[in-house]
Amino acid sequence: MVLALASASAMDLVQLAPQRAAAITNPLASDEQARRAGAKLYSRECASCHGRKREGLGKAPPLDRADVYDASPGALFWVLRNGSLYRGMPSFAHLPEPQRWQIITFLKSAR
Amino acid sequence: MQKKREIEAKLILSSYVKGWTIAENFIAEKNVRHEPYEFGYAVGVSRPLALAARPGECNLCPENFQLGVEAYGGLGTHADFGLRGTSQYVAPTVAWKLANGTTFKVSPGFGVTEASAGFLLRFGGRTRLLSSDEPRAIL
Repeated sequence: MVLALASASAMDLVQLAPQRAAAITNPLASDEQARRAGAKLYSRECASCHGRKREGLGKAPPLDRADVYDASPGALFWVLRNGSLYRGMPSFAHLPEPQRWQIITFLKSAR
Repeated sequence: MQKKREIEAKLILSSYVKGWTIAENFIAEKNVRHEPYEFGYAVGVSRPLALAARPGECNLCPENFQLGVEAYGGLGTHADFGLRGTSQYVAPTVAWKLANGTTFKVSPGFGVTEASAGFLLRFGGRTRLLSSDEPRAIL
């Protein structure tokens, strides 16, 4: 069981990504189809903790913020893949890689 | 009426490789009254019909379907460990995830040893019970 207990900002977690992981680029960046699919996946997989408008809920941090937009796609991908049990962020490694990139395309383009 | 009290431990492992989900379970079971330790296993691989999601909400999009195959059965007891005399099954699996996140899974299993039942049908479902606006536990 993973509890949504994240108290630190999303950016703290992103900063834990190793440089090698952070350097990976999003193969679906700027792809409009991917952004729309990512919005759907965000609604299904992420909104229950982070809010429908990415405003954050409870202790799950908001994702509608400059430091998320400015984070490297590779670092966000690392967070989605690994999660953080300590911060209550589950791993989304069960989603195929293209779907994780679609979510990141949405998060990065939603400013 | 006899009460059956058992302790069961499961090692649940899974990994995700290029769209494939690979799962391995090892099960140990002990009836607390003088029964031997019993062991079992389950292994499986599965993959969605499409790795990327389609943009629109849909229940029948290919990424919502996951096909796979499982093998599961007994491994005997601590005194007689192994496959001899145990039930063994091979089972194709189909999982269907609806747009609202509810998932259904069906798996017809076919016995492959003399000790097995000829056919087993397993099915299940999973859904979220809490409002999406509330912080919640993820089980």
